[in-house]
Amino acid sequence: MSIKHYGIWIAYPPTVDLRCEGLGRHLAAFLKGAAEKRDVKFTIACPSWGQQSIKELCESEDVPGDSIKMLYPQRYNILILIYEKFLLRSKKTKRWKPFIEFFSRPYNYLLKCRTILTENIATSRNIGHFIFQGFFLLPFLIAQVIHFSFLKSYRIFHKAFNHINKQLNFPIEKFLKFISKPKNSFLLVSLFAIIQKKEMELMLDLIDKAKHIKAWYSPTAFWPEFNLINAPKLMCIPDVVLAEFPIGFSNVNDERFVELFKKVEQAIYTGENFVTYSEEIKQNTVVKRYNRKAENIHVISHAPNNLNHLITIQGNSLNGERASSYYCQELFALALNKSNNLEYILQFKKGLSKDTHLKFFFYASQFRPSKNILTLLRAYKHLLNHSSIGHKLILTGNPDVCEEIKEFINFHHLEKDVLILTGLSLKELAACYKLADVVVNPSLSEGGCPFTLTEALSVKTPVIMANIPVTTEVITDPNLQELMLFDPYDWQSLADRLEWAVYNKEELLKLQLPVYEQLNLRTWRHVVDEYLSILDQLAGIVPDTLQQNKEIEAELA
Amino acid sequence: MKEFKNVRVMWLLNHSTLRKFEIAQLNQLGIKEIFLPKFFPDDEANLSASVDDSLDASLTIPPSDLNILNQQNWYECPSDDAWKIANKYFDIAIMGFFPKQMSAVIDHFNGAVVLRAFGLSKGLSYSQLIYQSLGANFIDKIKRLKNRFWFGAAYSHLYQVEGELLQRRHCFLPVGLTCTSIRDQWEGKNKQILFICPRINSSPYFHAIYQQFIDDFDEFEFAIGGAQPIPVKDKRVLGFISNEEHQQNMKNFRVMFYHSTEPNHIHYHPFEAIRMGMPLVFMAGGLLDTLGGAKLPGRCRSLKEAKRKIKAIFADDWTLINSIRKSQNILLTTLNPEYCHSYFFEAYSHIIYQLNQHRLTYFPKVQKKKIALILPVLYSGGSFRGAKQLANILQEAAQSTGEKLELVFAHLDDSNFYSNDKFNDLSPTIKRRTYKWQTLDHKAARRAMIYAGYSDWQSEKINYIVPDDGINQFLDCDLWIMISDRLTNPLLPIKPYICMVYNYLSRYFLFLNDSLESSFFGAAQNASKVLVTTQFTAENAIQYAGVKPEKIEIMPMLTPDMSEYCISSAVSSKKKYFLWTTNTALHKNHVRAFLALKKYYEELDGQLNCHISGCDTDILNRQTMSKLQHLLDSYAVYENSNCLKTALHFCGELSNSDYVKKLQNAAFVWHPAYRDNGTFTVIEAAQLGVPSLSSDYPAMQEINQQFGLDLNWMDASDPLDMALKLKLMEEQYINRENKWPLDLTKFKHNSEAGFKYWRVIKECL
Repeated sequence: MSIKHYGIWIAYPPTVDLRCEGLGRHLAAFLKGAAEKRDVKFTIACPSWGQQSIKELCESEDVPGDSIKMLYPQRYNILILIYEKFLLRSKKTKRWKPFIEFFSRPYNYLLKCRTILTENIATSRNIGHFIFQGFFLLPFLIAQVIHFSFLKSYRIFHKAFNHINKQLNFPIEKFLKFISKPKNSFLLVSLFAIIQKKEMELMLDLIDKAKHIKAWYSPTAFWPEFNLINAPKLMCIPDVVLAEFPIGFSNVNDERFVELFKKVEQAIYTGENFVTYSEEIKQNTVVKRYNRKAENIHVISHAPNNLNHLITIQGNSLNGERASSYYCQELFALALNKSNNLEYILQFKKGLSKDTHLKFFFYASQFRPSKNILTLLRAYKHLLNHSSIGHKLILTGNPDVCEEIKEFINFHHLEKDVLILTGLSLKELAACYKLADVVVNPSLSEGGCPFTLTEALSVKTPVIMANIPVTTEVITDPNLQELMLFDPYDWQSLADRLEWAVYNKEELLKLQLPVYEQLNLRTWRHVVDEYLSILDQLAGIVPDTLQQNKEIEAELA
Repeated sequence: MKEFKNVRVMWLLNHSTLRKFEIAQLNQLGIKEIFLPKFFPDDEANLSASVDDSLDASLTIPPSDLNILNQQNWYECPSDDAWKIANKYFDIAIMGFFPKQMSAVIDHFNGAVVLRAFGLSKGLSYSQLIYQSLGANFIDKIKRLKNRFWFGAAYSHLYQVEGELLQRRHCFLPVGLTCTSIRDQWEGKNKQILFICPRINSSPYFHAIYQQFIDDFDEFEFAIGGAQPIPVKDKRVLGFISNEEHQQNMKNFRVMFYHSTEPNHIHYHPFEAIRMGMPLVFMAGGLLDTLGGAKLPGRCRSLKEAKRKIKAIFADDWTLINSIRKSQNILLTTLNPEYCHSYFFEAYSHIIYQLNQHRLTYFPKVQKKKIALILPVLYSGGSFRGAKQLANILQEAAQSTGEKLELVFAHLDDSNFYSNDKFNDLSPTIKRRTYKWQTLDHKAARRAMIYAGYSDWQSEKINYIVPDDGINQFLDCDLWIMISDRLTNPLLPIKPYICMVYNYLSRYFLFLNDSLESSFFGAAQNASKVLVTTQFTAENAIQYAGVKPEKIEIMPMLTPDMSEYCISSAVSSKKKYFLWTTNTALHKNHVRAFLALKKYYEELDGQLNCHISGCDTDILNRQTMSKLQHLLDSYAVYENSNCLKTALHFCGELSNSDYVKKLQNAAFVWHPAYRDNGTFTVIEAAQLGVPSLSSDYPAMQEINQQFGLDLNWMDASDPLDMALKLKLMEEQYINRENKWPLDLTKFKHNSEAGFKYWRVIKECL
């Protein structure tokens, strides 16, 4: 059996951890699917700094290490090396944490002493007592004077420093910013861009020599340089979300996003063959906005994301369902510890036990302008105030990236009802899905049908979602659409659906599970097959249908 | 050339030399049917333009249709019939950079559109000019044309300075001459420089060139050619001369100097000189360098070098003269029709192929449209009611024409101000959405525009605003309708919007600061259309706010429907009060009104009480009123008159039903305001059989005329006249009531008005 060789191009800038990128999971699933193919070998071309990240991704996602080959420039960039050392050094500062904790206890004790002494002296009516206690308070007063003088000098110095900075027009501030947060520095980003460009040139040289690789695939449209490969190419365009939410993203990551956006556009304009996850992105983004030929754009939808195996406990002596449920509760308790309102949660958890069912709605998503979280919050607030529903709302994501969400929660005093859990593990995520009464996804735009659908249904939790084209491509039954989809531009519509779903969750789940069963027939292996078929076509390779049939038969058996 | 055989072209330009060349090129391709415009703008910049009807005979379209086409001004907006004919018979429209022409062609023509570009001054680009003259939304319109739009650049490098859209749609259509053969008739006996500089006194650009030239070359003998629409008092300037004289000059003058260092634009005359065999001394850095002149002996890097060379030419340095003459012919290479033909063939093959592809794959789809009606400030009175009415009638109009329309009614997020019950009269199919204004600094604004596809947009202001619904800033809507121009900062031009404008009171009353007023002007100027309801406001929009007249649409007033409140027989014939609907705004003319009332009660023995209703009117009799600077005098009048304290009843803002009752029982309505957009109260009153006494000003005259209200008039600047008219109304209102009701059908035209609004709004979709 002859082996076909195809390449995958990954060219993230330094410091990107693929495990934290949305693309990472998709790539891992793809590679796992590809690993099952005996007649295909994938080679990943990446920058010298990228191979470690790919290895870590493969390890964390159980991708067989021997199933892929790597192609990267051998000698490490010196600046990157220095930078990584610098990063490592800043990470090492965490080692001081136990020492800080150790010294903080006596420090707090001293502060308490000072308060007691001050109170005693202030209320003293005995001169001896006054002098005696005053003697002990004196060191505190001296320390206070030193502290004050230091602060005063610092302010004077800072003022003078700013003045000089302005006069000389010297970018001291930028320099200090660079030292304190190097990763966000424009200087560093620009440097990375130069280094990345050079690294990609080296990658292209390596690819040029790897003649056995018949076609190349780029899983995203971040890199226009991919189009310089002198071999058949296929580029995936998951979405161009900035174009759909221009105002929302105008204050996110400033000029860095502009550069990225321009690259994406350049990649699309210079590319020839594309893959999208949905017909919607194909037609409305690639064809309509970028005027690319529809016949060169292929749609390959995702395979479902099944979370059930992560929370299923098996064992002869156990009641599986009950054990799984307890396990979920444990995971959920751990997840709650990652809440933004920990003080409240620690107190609240006292009332929780393994058998207590905390009623909540769940939405697992990052906080991005396209995710439409405010509409969900408005609907939730309405239900809380105008219905008998008392569920909590659990969100994931980083609340610091979206001021509006924090403001809304604070303004409406929802801090104890809207819980934001950050940094959940996959198992904790699965537990949240499992224990939620209803999963909800108000997202206005996605590259393909949101994973929320299959993730929720895989653990048998009903789900309601925004009525957006990528979802109606998958949920085609008009009756089911009416029951589970809402107008994402209308919070009242979301509230109505959510309220209905809470009171009719069994009915909803009953209607949704057959859809899931149907979707579940598709695996990542099928996805990979579809990609391979396009790559074969581009590479001019006639597919070995006989072999494929044999493999499918073997798989079915 | 089979593919060109059946192609018809509209060449919508009038430049004589260019026409000669391009028509010949098109003919050579096999395109024989070409329409040429018969009118061009009477602009002194069009001195090189002329009309040519010689190609009409070759057109195989019906003469009556051709006649219609010939009657149009293709530089403005031709009639709908003309566009129908154009779309029926023609495949390609070739236009110049004339904003109105471009706008009309892009909006109406269904074939391929070629924008001919001949280069601009250094630092300028067509992309920038499009943003400046036609706005960001025009870019969107061009994008919608997809492969039907082409940026036909006359020089191969022009696209490099353009934005992303024009770069992608670029095709090279070189500019050339019908004949580039060397005539070599130059004799050069006259030792003078021939310098060509037209329009010296009518164009600041050319005047500066002229001034520079005469300053730099005053030591030389020279003559300046070129058409001068305004004569120049300089004997060296030749002014209008015949072509023969011009040819003669080129034959006799010793040298031609070409000054331009513009890298993207060039004139014809250097090439004419070359053809004549006349030595051309030119400055380096211009387009001649790109056309092959970078190493020519006539090229000068500095003025000093140019003078030196000209001196040598004057001093009969025939070695230099001959080397210039001999070498400069290379500049004609790219203008050679044969050379240009291959590019024309390539470009038009592509244009026609893409057009055919489009025609094969294009199926018009009826798409649902989504429009947001946005109340920019907290409106509660007539503007709020009017906005709801507009939403309702638009929805009805779209529904009855079978068009898919989704309306979103947007108001500021203030639940205390906009309680749910205030929307009972809004159609349930119209969705409400709250928002707050979001300010973007110019950097964020630029980023937003880049992401939205306007990569070449440049911010001109420090801040921009967008209505933020917390979802996607209303970008899900195809069009925004701003229910007034009260925008405190420029709106980010990310969506086309229509602006309703009610009045320009600041023209008559000083109550806005310049910055705010400028923002309001900007809101109207930048709108795709400005809707007004009176001719008076339309005039103000043009004369005061600087809105382009073609943007303004005078729309019907949406009358409040009072049909459910029939004229009640229970209404007593002897009435005890008249109704003054007002608010605390400056233009309500409070001082004169209070003075008039004082005279009415104290001097004329007025018998009817005055009931005052409207937003904030409950404070008009209180100390709080004195806090408003413009009401201080009114308050003083009120405070010092016991009669006023007895006869005036301050009702505040009434509920709809209370208001109707109040109106029904009034003897008449008193409207003493000054120069606003008119009040609907008089229309409501008329429907209930109640007469009105109004200030005499244009908007009220228009309302009176439109609805046949037979209003009674008073002079709002004269309290005595106002008081006398009040007394007269008191004596006559019963007689006047007997004339009512008027023809109520006049008030029943809202559905008709809906169609009119819908038709105008649809033009912006």
